[in-house]
Amino acid sequence: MNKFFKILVATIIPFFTYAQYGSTGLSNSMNMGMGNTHNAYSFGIYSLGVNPANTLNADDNSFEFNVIPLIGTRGGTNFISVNEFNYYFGGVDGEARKLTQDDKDNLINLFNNGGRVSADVNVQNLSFVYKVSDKIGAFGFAIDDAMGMNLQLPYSVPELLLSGNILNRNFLFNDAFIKTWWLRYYSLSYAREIENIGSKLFSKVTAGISLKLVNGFYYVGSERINTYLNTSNTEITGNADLLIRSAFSENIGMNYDFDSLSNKKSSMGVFPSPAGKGYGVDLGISTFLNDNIVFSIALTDLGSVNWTRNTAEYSSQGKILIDDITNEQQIDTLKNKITGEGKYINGFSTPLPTAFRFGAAIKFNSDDDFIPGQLVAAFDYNQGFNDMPGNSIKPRFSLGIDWKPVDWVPYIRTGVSIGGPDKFNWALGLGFNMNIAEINIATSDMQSLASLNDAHRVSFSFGTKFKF
Amino acid sequence: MKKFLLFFLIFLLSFIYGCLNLPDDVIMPEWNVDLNIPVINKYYTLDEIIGKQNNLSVDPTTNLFIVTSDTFKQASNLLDFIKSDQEFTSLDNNMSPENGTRDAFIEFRSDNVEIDSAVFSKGYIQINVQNNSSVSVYFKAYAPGIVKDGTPLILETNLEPHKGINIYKDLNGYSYKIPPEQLALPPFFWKQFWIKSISSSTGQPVSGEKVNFDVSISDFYFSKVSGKFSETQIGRKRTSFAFAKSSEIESYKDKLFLKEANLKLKTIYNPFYNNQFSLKIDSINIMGIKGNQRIYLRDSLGSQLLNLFVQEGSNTIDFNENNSNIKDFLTFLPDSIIIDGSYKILGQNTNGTVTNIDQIEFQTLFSTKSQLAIRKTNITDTMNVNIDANQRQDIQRGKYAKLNFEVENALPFNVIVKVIMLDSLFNPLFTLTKLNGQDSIEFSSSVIDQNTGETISPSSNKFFIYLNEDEIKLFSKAYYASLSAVIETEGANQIIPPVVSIKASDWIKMKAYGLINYNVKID
Repeated sequence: MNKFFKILVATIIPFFTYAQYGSTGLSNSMNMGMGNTHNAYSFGIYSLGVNPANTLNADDNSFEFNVIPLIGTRGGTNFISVNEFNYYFGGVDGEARKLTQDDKDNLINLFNNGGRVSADVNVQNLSFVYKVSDKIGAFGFAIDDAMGMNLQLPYSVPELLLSGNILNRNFLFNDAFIKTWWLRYYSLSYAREIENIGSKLFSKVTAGISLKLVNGFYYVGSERINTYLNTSNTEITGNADLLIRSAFSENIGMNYDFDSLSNKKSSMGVFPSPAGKGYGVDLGISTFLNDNIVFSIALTDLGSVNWTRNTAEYSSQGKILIDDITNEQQIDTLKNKITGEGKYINGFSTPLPTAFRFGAAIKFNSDDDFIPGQLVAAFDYNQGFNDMPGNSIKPRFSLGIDWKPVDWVPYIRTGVSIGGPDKFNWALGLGFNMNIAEINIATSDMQSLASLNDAHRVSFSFGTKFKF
Repeated sequence: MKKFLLFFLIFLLSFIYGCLNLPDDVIMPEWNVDLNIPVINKYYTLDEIIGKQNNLSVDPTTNLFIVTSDTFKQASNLLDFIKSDQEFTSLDNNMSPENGTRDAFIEFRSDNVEIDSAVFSKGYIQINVQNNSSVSVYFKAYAPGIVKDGTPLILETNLEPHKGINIYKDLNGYSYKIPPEQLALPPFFWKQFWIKSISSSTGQPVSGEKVNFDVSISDFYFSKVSGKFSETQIGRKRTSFAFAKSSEIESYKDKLFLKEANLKLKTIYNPFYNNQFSLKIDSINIMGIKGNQRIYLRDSLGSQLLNLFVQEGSNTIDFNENNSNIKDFLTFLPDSIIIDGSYKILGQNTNGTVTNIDQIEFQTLFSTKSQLAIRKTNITDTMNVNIDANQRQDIQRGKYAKLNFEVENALPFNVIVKVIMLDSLFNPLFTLTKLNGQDSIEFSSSVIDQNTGETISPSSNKFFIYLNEDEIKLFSKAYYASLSAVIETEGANQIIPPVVSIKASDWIKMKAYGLINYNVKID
């Protein structure tokens, strides 16, 4: 338990590593160091999933790929730090901490801004980009696995648990949500220079497209949770309004609690049978004002997944009334209203984490007498169209630089990201270019690294790619 | 460079992990939380509280309960009186051995009925024949009135010289009807069985020699008798029934005052054949016994001997508080009731037919309505406290509880309740119903209309029970609850107490809610 929990906490709470999809998903190990600024300034396989037009940002007749699957995990909360966790769940001399009223108030206050828990695992199993030339174009292929979870614990939950059902207080659960899934993308990309378009304004215009076959292996998502409870002197009243849908691959062996006859067993393999299938498209354009200034826009993950296997929904609606806890019918009804009654459904669809991206980048050389070596400054605006895992309808802006002062110094990268569910991140990264191999390390939460035990989030990314 | 990078990466991960001060063991904290719980909100009508009872019904018009006794029955078969285990004989009959004939008449006496016809269910005829001659004799006797399947009863035998024999015949299945030729005889012979006998010999007997025979009939019963009936005492019957003997009723003895009561005496007489005579149950005694005490049901004249004339079919006589002392009788709540009565056929040479399935049945049915007064009556009960082991552990985590009760009482009686929690060996743990230094809680009666005794409005009773941590821990060890209740209607101590109407629709509403301070500890 101890080891497991340590690993869990180390994984879920502080680390963000790799989730290259959606508007808020973390970028590759190069662009993460720039505050996840990647729309106008990304290259080769790092462009896949962000802006396919940028796959063309490579030398003619070059080939780059990853041989080791890039595995990243992301997880975190926006409400509790390691120190706080340690205080409340570390015990006192091996005994449970007895919470004082102040302790309870402080713990409840941690949830003032929402009890968000997120976790992502992204595995780039295989990817390559081969660029022939700007005219002929660049071809790319990738197989990516994305497991993501966005969970919001409603403020009312810790308040109810710690302070009880205070009289005449409305306990709202409408800030609760959960979205979690596991998708596998098979994407085929193509980009090339577009001639004769904007040639008077831009020195070069490139465009790219990625066509994606999407297999979904599980999905659990809340469509709506508007349940609330109120306690008066003599009764607990409220309203239930809940709809949660789910689908699971046969190989997961999910047995729903409402199906007593179900006896499925888990049999996971490398290629589990999908519970849902869909298609997606990434579209991107990069326009080069000159060799040093570029603007990019992209629409990524246009499409949806149709979930058809082991699909179920848990739903409840209606008034809640408890005025007699000895009334088993009332208690059973409350349980059903809170958790919803489950049943099989024919199927449903969910959108992919569709996002609009805009980016701009400017490059400074030593010739500019601005700074020694070469420096690239980039700006991003990412706007998700839904709240699927890795995505957010809250806009995210980021600004990052990539600086190579002299040859023997690695690339130095830093940046800030503002907006999205994380609100603020300060990123720092290093890059080592060894001709045929490129190694990048980064964190997008430098402020957390400075004081790990006070951190709500810590991220780290490490990636390699080979290029010929 | 690669080694440097690898070293850097391992260093960085070690640094991050080392700097994280994660707990060695995750130990969930514990805390106390106030839970506001609506414990109970129940509305019960009296009908729901009492539930279905065998002897309880509700008058749909008045909504009053009607309490009825079991139906006590006493039955008597009419044919019991026309029977005989006596022996009737015709002695010293003789005739010549050679071609002799002799008619014998056996007197069949019945003071009550002149039988025209009958069917035997039992009976014996016996002839003792003595051949007092020197020749062999054939003897034959037959009864023209006693027939089975169209054939008269025949008894016959051959007798050696100077020999005798007993001939015996069971009359079961034979029927009797006076033969037409017997009706030609004087009426004296009509009430007698006619036995004809003949003899013949194989040789010439000595002159003066005789065949002698005696005829007797005994132990006869009938399955059907037709004839002319006179007034007949069928018999007297006495039957005892358990009445208000149960422990539940025991508490109310000497404390109950009824407004009204009723006794239905019902007779059922459905003879197979229509008869012209009537029946009577004479000198009926209905007596209630409680220990050494007795009470008789008396009519309005004070007589304890009641008479009932029974007509064909079903007839009912009502005794109520106006024509009898039935109210006092039922208020007495006897342990047992004895019914004693004499059954008669009232005929005056009246034609009729009685079969063995004809009977007269006499039923009593006591009833009263729920308009009454109750003096202080103690009711005790022990109830199971159904809490499983996990729930007992959970209860132990309670720190204190303050439960508020709001009771609206639309029942027309005061109730004082005391509840003592008991452990598994029935040892008292603590008194649950302690309030203001008292160990019981009183619910006052509803407001009563003085004229009708009906509830006008409910009474409102509010109180709270506070349990400290020790008491909550004791509660977790409770397996039984001893309930003592004292119930009493308003003014029940008066000599003539006012009567209240207890209706099925009377109700009690109980709401309990409160605060429980609970220690949460998640292992």
